[in-house]
This record gives sequence, structure tokens and C-alpha cells, in this order.
Amino acid sequence: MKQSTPQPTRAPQSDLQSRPAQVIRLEKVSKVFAVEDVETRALVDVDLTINRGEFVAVSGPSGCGKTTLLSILGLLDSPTAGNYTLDGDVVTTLSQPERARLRNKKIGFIFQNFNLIGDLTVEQNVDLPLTYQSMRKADRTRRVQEALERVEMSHRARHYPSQLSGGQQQRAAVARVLAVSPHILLADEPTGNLDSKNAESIMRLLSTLHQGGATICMVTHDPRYINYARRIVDLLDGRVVDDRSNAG
Amino acid sequence: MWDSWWQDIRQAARLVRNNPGFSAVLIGCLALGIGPTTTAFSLINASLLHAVDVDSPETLVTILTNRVGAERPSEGISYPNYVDLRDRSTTLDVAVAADAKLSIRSEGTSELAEGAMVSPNFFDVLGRKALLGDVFHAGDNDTPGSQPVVVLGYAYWQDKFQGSPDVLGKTMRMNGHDFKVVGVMPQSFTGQMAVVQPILWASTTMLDEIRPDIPSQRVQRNHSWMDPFARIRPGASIEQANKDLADISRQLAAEFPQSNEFMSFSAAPFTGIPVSIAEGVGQLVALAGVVVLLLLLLSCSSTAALQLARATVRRREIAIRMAIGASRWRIVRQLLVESVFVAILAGGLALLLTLWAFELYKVLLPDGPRGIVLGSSLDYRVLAFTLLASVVAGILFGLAPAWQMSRPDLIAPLKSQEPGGDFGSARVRNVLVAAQFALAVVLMISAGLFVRGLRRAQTLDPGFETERMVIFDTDLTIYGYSMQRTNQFVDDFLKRIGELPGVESVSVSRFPPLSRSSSNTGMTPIGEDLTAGASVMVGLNWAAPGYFDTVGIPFVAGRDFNTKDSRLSKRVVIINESLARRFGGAKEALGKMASGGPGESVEIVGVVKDSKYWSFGEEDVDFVYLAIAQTPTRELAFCIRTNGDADAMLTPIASAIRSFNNDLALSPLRTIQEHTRQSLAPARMSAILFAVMGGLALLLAVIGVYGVVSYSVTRRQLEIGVRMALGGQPRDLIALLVRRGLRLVAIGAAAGICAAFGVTRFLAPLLNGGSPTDWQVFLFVPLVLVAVAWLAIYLPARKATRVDPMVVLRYE
Repeated sequence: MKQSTPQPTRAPQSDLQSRPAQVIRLEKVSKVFAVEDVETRALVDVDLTINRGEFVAVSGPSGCGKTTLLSILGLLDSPTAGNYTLDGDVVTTLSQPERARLRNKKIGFIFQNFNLIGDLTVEQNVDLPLTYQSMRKADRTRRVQEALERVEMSHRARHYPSQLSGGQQQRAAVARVLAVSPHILLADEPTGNLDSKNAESIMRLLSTLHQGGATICMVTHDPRYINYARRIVDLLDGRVVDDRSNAG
Repeated sequence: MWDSWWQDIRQAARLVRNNPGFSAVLIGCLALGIGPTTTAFSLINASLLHAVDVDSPETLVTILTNRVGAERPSEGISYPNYVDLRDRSTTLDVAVAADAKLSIRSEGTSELAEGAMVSPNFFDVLGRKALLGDVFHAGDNDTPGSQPVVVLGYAYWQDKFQGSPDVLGKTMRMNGHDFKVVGVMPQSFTGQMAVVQPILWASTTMLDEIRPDIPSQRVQRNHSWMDPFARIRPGASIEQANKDLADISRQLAAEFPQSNEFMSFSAAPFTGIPVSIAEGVGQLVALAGVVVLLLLLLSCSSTAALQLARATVRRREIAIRMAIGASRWRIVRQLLVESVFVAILAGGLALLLTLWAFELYKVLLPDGPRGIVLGSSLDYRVLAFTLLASVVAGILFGLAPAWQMSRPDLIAPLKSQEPGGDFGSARVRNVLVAAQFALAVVLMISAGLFVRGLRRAQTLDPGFETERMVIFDTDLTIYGYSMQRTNQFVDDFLKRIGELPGVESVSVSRFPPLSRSSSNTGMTPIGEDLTAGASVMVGLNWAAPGYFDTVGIPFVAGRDFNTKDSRLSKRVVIINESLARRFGGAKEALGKMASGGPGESVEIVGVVKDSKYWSFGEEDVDFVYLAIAQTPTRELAFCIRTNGDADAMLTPIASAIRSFNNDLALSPLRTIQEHTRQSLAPARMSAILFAVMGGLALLLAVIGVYGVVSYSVTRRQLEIGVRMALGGQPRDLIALLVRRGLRLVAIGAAAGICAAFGVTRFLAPLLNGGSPTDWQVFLFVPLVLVAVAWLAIYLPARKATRVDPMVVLRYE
């Protein structure tokens, strides 16, 4: 199926002005997993800042702490030490309900395995985070339609995930993110389960979103797609060993 | 907000639709728990909670008699006291009703029946008109003997007159007198009492014709045999009525101190349930409530365990929802909505079970001319209760899984698609499985005790012969027999029946063995120095010479009654061994004197073996037999010993009775086996009910453990595959899985045994003398449960080890 690249959509200027320039700021963040007597240091004193509108790729070998970093950025996990500031607010010690609320409002996830709910149609999957915001149905419907149009999945709105190809599922997952207009989009190996054609398509989609003003942090170890990012952070043994700009 | 609730409901419906097998098991399990609960409520609702068919029940009151020293008020009132209340009250229209034993003669045969004798204003006070014809009214003509009319109950009219309108004006001969049928009441009308519809209502103006045995009942003030109720007059309140009754009580106490000094009357809201049975009904309802609640808890626990087991499958979905911003409360809410949705579907199924059980109950009701008027099996109360029970069950079985499932490790399931992990729910699931077996053990041990109690009663030596005997009891009062005529009747009857071929002996007593009727009195042993000892309460029966020989109660010491024991001779009694022990032993008791009342002393002339007098479950009772010749009675129970099969003698004996006296109703003629079988009917019914409950409990527990083990082995297929790939033997793996499962079952069973020790003590009075801690039941039931549980664990475990390890490993 032919898939064209959507046109970038920029966030309203006034909205952008009201937000701090730094979307994410990690200071000396460490994460230690302790299982019985064994301690595993997944992250060690990580300092990282992501500014609004950046497209950052986090790269490194397997087990270097990429996923742990993304989980902490996405408020799915808490650091053992250090500070995490999201949109100017310290979120290190937030309670579970507050973390859930922030995940819902400010963070969008794209997973390697899409993580759509099999019992729900594409439309319902995209609608799901909006229902957790207690948004009015009319507003939700409008947002869902817009998001599906942006990823060109309107024609599959009533389909179930099992009826879609991998690329279409990932597009639906991106639409689910777009629907809530998050402050940052976290993508964990978004192309990992896709063939190269669909992977390219998804990367073009992310690139377009970035051009439209979206802030993206993507974990990948595939060198083909790192170049879509404008900044590359290399991790090794839980430490940031390189943080460089990428001309593309 | 409603939109998100609606979304949760749709999600719940989707889950049911997409997982029909699992949902069906959940719904079935829950329905087995909710069904008995709603059935019990439906029966209580239909019999106790539905309004009695009277006009404005809120302005009716029950009049209670309060006696100084009595634990609680009672309903009985004497006829003279009723008349005074009726005539003196300025706030109440007082009416009375009483049971009336009737002998109804029609088409050449007689039948015994229970009717009601009511004051002439009965129907006016209740405010109900006849369906057909008319009722009798106050003031028609209240003089004694002036209203030889009856109003028929609907069920009796249908049963005996096939609902024919021609019944009006017909004559019925009752208790030797003619009564004209003047009306038929509507189907729903039961009078002042719920549920039981008398066959007919006769007026108290006919008291002397219907109850000729107590000629003084119109004037005897201390003989309380009628149930009074009243309607509050317009403009008066229940408080004013009580003040009015208190004033009248004081007047009567002053005027008739001998009978009324320590007595007063009060009004209580009308319920249709006599206070005399309200306590017993309450206990029965409480027992039923506990049993069905246990079953409901068991089904909730089984379904909760199944849900928890299934939680592994939904781990990823919950993690996704939480990752995109659902709070824990939101997830808990969604899961609870799903549980309640399933429970409501189960409630629907339970409602169908209830309707079926209700119809079955009606079929099982004993046949008889008295109609049983039950409310609807399905009304708004039953629907509301079912909905409530379903919602509660949904929350009960959904809460623990929801709590567990809403705190997953978010990262792992989002990274991987394969089911795995446990949410840390294994402990809760294990607790639930153990709890199921604990509850099942309690219910099954209770069932086992009831069954053992019944078995014990069936094999227990009641102390009299239980074969080759025919019993025929009658009350000659209702045939209008005088005492002299009764004596003649007894002599002739014994002679005629005794001459029948196949009859070995025949004798008479007042009550048959295992009688539902009873009589008690206080008896005071008198020492040799003529000082009175402590009074003891003793059971009473009246017996004729030869009774003990005929019934098969052996003598321990002394002699039987004989023809010399007459009204003119010294009063003599025969006592049982238990009472004899109070006199120092059987031989020592002979010749001793006892006082049975003011100025009445009796001599003990014989001691017989103990036997069962009222029920198989009774404890040893102190018992006294009076000589029937010295204390005549018109209530008689003839015991006829046969040479051979008692059944074969029923027809010849019936023919002999009919040719002897065609007025006598033959319906009470029965063999001793049939008589004891009837005595055991409540025990049998209890045993069946508890056995059904116990079976359901076993089924639910087994479904629970089977489901949990099935899911567990599915979840652990990788582990099983690895173990097998590394050379593990299937039997070792099965043993491992069975060991783990049985450990939980054993813990649950042990907890259940401890709980049963505490609970079954309360069942002791219902076990027919069986021990509430019968070790055989306490041993056997857990063994059965463990054996069945072993099977429920073994089957899925064996299936899991039959997989090809390479297939599993490749898949994983």
C-alpha cells in the first residue's frame, strides 16, 4: 500500500512560548536494580537535557541501559538517585497517580511491539488515552479523526490490530500518541518489529512530526535510523559516553 | 463521566464476547453461588415478606398478652377476655381466630381437616369480601349456635368442589353438625396469618358445636386459645390503642384477679406471622442465610482465583493502559465494572435457577386441602435482591484480582508480548484456593453430619418395635363423643380389631410413639418421710393395659396397668428408666409416691425402658405414663400389632373400622414404618438440602482449583519445556505440580476442619442426636475433597507435560 509522508503540523506559537525550553532534564540520575544480593547498576550519574523540538536518538549496545533510561523518562520507573525535571517540574518523587496523570498529559509512547490493545479497534485504541483525560466525546472524536488522518489510517479506523500489518499497527500507535498532543514522544525501538519498508515509513513519519515541532526521544540500535535524529546520545554500561549533534 | 463508565461496560461486554469459554465458567460458578442466595430470598419473600391479603394492613395490629414473669409476650387470649376487649375498647375493633380440628363428612366417608374458627367480625375487621357468595358479619346474630354457616378457602373449594359456583347453599356435616356454605374467599386470602390458607372459616358462635370437648371455653378466662388482632379505628393511633388496652387490662385485673392480675394486653404492628413462631422462623432464616452466604463466598472465591489466574493473560493490556495514563483507580474501576458485569449475567442465570427451584419447592410442598399461598417468585424485591447480590458478588470476586492486576511491573510486559510474570498475585491466588477448600470443608462436613444424623436416626433403636404395627389416632371430641361414649367406643374398638385375623394385640394410648403432640407436667417426688423433693418436668402420655407389650417397650421393673386401675382406685403411673434414676433406680422407684399437682399424688407401679417420645434426636427424657382409665381422654392413638406384614393389614383394618363406625376418618391409618418415616421427614429434607449445598461447594472448589492449575501450567509452559528439554521426566513434573497444588488444598482443608469444629456445634440440635464432631465425618470429608482436588490438579498437570518441549521453546 502506498503511504505518503504527512505534512508537518506545528504547535501553536503561544502554547510553545508558555512552555520552558527544556522539556527534560536529568541530573546525576542513577538506577540500581537489586535482586537478592546482586546489584545491577543500569544507569550511573546520567546527566541529560532535551530541549523542546529536539529529535534525540539514544543508542548503545544491548544492556547499556537504553530501555531503563526511557522508562525513567516516561515515568514508568523511578530513578534510585538524582533528579528528573519534566517541563520545569521536578517529577522524581511524584506519587503513582500523579505520574499516571503526567504520562497521560505530557508523554507519548511508541513501542517496538506497538502495544495496541487487541480487543479494541484502531479508533478505540487511539481514543483510549483521551478517555483517561475525561474529555468530552465530541472533542475526543475530533481528535481521534485528526490523529488518524495525520498517520493516514482513517480508512482502518474500525479494524482490529490483528487485521493490520506491522507498519499499520505502528502507525495506529503513533496516532494514539498524537491524539493527546504530548510534550515529548518517547519511542522505544519503533522499527524493531518492522520490515525495512515499513520501518522507513515510520521513521519518515517521526521525522515529519519532528519538523512539525514535536520533541522526540528515540531509543534504537539500528544505525540506519539513527540519522533521522538531530542529536545522538550514546550509552555504555549505564553512562552517557557521547552526546553529539547529527547533521543528518 | 457517564461516557467513561459506558466505555467500561462496553469493554466488559467485549471481554465476555471474546472469551466465551472462560466467561461461561465464571458465570456458571457465580450463578451456583448467587442462585441459592436468591432462591432462599425468593422463598422468604414469597412466604414471609409478601403482604397478607387484607385491607390497609398498616392500620391492623396484633394484640399481645404480657404475663408477669414470661420471657416474651404471647398471642393467646381466652374467649371471655376477647369479648371484654371487643366490647370495652374505644380505639380498636377486635377480632379473634383459632385453629379448629374438623371431621368433615361427605359422600359416606369422613376426613379430618384443619379449619379456622373466627369471630363474626373477622372478615369485616380484615376488610375482605367473598369471591363468591358472602361472608358472615358481626351483628348478623351473635348468639351461640346462630351461625351454622361456613366460608370456604379457595384451595379447598377447588380441591373438593372443583371450583363450582353451585357450592353455595350446600350443606357440609362437620363434627356432627350441619353447616351451610355461604361463600368462597379469593385465592390470595389466608386470613390473619400469612401463607397457610385454612380450608374454611366457621363462626365462634358455633363454638359449642365445633369444640364440644371444652364446654367451659366461653366462660373460662384462664384458657387462652384464640389469636386476637384488631383494626385501629379511624382517628386513633397505635399509642392511643395501647393506652386503651392498658386501661382495659387494669379493669380486668381488678374485676378478675384470679386470671388477670398478672396479665396485660398491648398492640403491636400486624405482620401476619405469629410471634409464637417468629423466633423459630428467624432461626431458620438465619441458618439458611449462613449456608447460602458461605456458598456465595465460595463461588466468589473460586471466580476470584480464576480471574487472578487469567490476570497473567491481561498483564500486557493493563500495562499499556497504565503507560498511556490510566491511574490505578481507573484500572481498578474498569476491572470491577467487568466483574460486576459478569456477576450481573450470572445473576440473570441465577434468577432462572431461582424460578426453577421455586416451582420445584411448590411441587414438593405436602399435598393437603389447606392451600399454601405464596407470593410471586419474581417481584421487584427479588429482582432488586438479585441485582444487589450480583453487584456484591461482582465486587467480592473482582476486588482482589483488580487490586493485584492494577499494580503490574509496567516495563517487562510492554517490552515483551509473551504472557509471563504473575503480578505478585500468586500469594493472593493461593490464599483464595485455600479459602475455597476451607469453605467447602465446612459445608461438606455440615452436610456429612446431617446425613450421618439421618442415618443414625434410621438405624437407631427408638425403644419400641418399628415393624408389624399399624397406628390409628383420632380425636373423638370432633365427632361429638361424650366421655361415656368414648369409653364404650374404646372397649368395642379394641375388641373388634383384636378379633381380626392377623392381629396379635391392640392397645390404646393418648399419643402414638414419636408423636408430634406432647404434654408435659411438673412432677415432685415425695420421700418416704412424705417430704417433697425438687420438682422435675416430665413428658406425659396416657396408656391402657397391654400398651407396652403391643408397642414393644419392655418393663424393667413392676407391672403394667390392669383393669383394677380405675377412677375409683389409687392413682398409679408407670415411669421410664431415666425418671426412675431420680428415685434411686428402677426397683427403688416402685411404690414411691409423687405429686403431679395440688392434692394429686400418684404411686409408681412400673418402670419401662426409655424410648423416643417425640423425635429421634431428643435427649433422654423423664417420662410418665398415666393410666388411661384413671384420666380419660378423647384423644386416642390405637396401636395394632400384626402377626405379619403390617402393610397387608391396612385394608382389613380399614374395613373393620369403617364397618365399626363409618363416621371415623380413616386418613390417619398408617404403618409404624410410614409413621417413623414421616417423623424423619424434616431430618431427611435437611440432609438433602445440605448434601446439595455440600455438593455445590465441592463442585465450586474443584472448578476453582482446576482453573487455577490449568492457568498456572499454561503460564509455566516455558519452565516445563525447559525442564523436559533438560531431561525431566513427565511423572516428576506431574508430581511437582500436584505437590504444589495439594499443599494449598491441605492447608485449606485443615483450616476448614478447624472452622467446622466451631460452626457445627450450632447444628447439634438438628442432627437427630448425632455428634457435631463425628470423627468419621471429619476424617472422611477432607479425604474426599483431597482426592477430588488431586484429580482436578492431576489432569491439567498431565496435559501440560504432554507438550513437545521443542514446540514450546520455539514458540517462546
